[in-house]
Amino acid sequence: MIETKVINPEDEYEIVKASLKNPREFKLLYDMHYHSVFLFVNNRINDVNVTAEIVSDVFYKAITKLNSFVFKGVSIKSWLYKISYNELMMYYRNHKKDRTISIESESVIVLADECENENLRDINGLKKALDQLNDEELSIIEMKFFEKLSHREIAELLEISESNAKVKMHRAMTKLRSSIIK
Amino acid sequence: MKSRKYIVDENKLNASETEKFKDFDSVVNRVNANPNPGPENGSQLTKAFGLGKGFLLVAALAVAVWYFVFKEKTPTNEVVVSETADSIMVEQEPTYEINAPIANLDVDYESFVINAQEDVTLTTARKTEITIKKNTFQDSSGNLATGDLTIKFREFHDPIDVFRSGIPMQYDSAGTNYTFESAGMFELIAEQNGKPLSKDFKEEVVVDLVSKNGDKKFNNYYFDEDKGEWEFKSKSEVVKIEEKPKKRNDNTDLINENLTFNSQDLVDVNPKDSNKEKELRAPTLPQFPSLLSNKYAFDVDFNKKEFRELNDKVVFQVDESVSKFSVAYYDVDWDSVNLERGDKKGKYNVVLKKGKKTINVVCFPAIPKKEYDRLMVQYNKDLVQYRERLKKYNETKKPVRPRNRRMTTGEVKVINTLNEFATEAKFPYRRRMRIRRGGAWNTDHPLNVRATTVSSNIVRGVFTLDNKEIDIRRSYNVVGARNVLMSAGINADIVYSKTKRNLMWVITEDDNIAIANPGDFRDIQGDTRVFAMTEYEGMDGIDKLKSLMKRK
Repeated sequence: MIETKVINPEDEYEIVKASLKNPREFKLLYDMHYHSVFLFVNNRINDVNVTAEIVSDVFYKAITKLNSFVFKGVSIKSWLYKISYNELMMYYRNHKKDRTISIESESVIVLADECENENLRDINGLKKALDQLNDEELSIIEMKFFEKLSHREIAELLEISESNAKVKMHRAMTKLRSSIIK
Repeated sequence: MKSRKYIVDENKLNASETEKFKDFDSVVNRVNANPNPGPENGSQLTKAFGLGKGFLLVAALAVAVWYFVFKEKTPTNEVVVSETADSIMVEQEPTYEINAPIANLDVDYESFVINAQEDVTLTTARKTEITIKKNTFQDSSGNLATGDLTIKFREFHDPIDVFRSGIPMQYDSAGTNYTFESAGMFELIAEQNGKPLSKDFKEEVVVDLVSKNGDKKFNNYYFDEDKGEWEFKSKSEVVKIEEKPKKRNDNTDLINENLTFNSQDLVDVNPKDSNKEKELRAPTLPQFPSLLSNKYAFDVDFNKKEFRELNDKVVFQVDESVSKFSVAYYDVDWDSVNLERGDKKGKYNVVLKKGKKTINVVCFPAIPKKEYDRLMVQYNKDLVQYRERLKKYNETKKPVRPRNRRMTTGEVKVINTLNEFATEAKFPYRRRMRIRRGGAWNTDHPLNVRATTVSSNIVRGVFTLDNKEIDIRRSYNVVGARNVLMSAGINADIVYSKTKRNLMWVITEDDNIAIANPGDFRDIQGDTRVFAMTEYEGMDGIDKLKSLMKRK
């Protein structure tokens, strides 16, 4: 079993500061967050080899850009997700690949209940409803319901305020709530 | 929207499965080899795709680094970061582009086609006159422009127009920052074959800009885009408006003609006279579609032979006054989508069918903005030809008293677009500007807003929609009846008046306009105020601001 030591955000920040002088200090954070970042990317790529390359780029950029990291009292994981998100956008642009959305069945039920739309319980209905959303709205729904990120983490990732993230979430769910499926 | 691929319950990897991809040493070695991400040591991904070290996705990497380092776009300095393996070079290009804060709400140009070798006076829809001598324009190499060229002109007379255009209204003089109070502003561009001609004119162009303000305190300024600032040029010269005979290239004539004439009343060839020499057929009045507003529209493939009256660039905007529409229609995979003529002229039905279900959506043809200017030029030419043909036709016919006919909705909308200017409050003055350079000019008066009676109060604004705080891109305020647009960025202070009416609005992060309740400026205590905003999309926001402006 792989054990990962869980440390609080303040401790993470101390590691970040140490890593500025010596990149090898970053290993603990690398081990802690590698799996989460890998899943985040693979859910959107669906190719483990390509994912591994992108994740390597993510951590390379994270270490080289540590001086731009601003500690906001939350885990560095959000910042790593943000770098991952940007790497993914660049990947889509450069390789003209389809955007992959990974859905878990159990999350679908929660989403359907939250949106009060029984049509969403059917996967085909859900797909058609999600197609109504623009890319940002889809990302928000994906992060909230399929990846269980908090509003704060979503806001960090999309570089908007938490209240704005909630407003955008609300709008996306309104669209899903009223989707008409034929 | 990019195409999307959905997968269900497939990507369930546990930590052991991802563990095998971990290679921290490899990452650290890359960092030590190149602490600054660059093309030579580029992405592992490019190697994996066989693109080799020599092939650099320079633009993509430069954009990624630029994104991390310089996320905010500033209108005054565009910073370009280009990287080599050895160093990062930062190039600053200090040019300033006038950018509308919301692109699809920018103020449109009026277009005139003129002959470069003829003197001409143009009259805009608002009755501003532009006098141009022959041989005024040149290309970028200094060669005189010959033949037809296009003059694009737009004018701004109230704070809403200024807001839409994005033209800055701040002025620095002797270290003090002022906001302009405007008596009118315009932008003039000369183009040929779609390319801009030199901004430097060989001859003086005289612009008699209509104005609501005859005060002599105003000056003429030119906006230097290289420096990103206004330059004082001269005192403003006020000219009294006199009635002049109508001339060619007068857009107001075209409006009047459209309103009064009905080509359908002119009779076609009489079959009884078929033995006679073939008579002229009544020319067809060219149709001009509406400018597409930010509403629902369909882009439908239609048979151009069957619908000859339609321009091939039109889309079909939903007529929401007669047709119920649901945004869900966009997402249905219809079996067929067809176009049919509607019951009324100028109206069309977009017929949507799926299985046994049929939905008719009543629409009218509309043209996207990017085609609008080009079509307007062609339309003006077509109208000139139409008049010539009509004249010839009339000479062969007995006079027919034109019967009033109801204008098509398309014509009404075009006329309303231009008549919105004609029906504004009258412009009692003209301000003459003699210019030798194209671009933006204004006749303004610099105002130190804090030191004047415009306003002397400041509050930090907190903006909400549906009781939730929102982020904004920029805020604007117009106080009382003065033609002064004050603007502040995010988290900046709003200058307001306690005694006069404040018309304050913001641009939201979704590029919508959200307007504050003027009552929220009453009894402000402290240095922060929460404003409950009302949000509008697209031109609805502009229309609302204009109607609120009229109430001042």
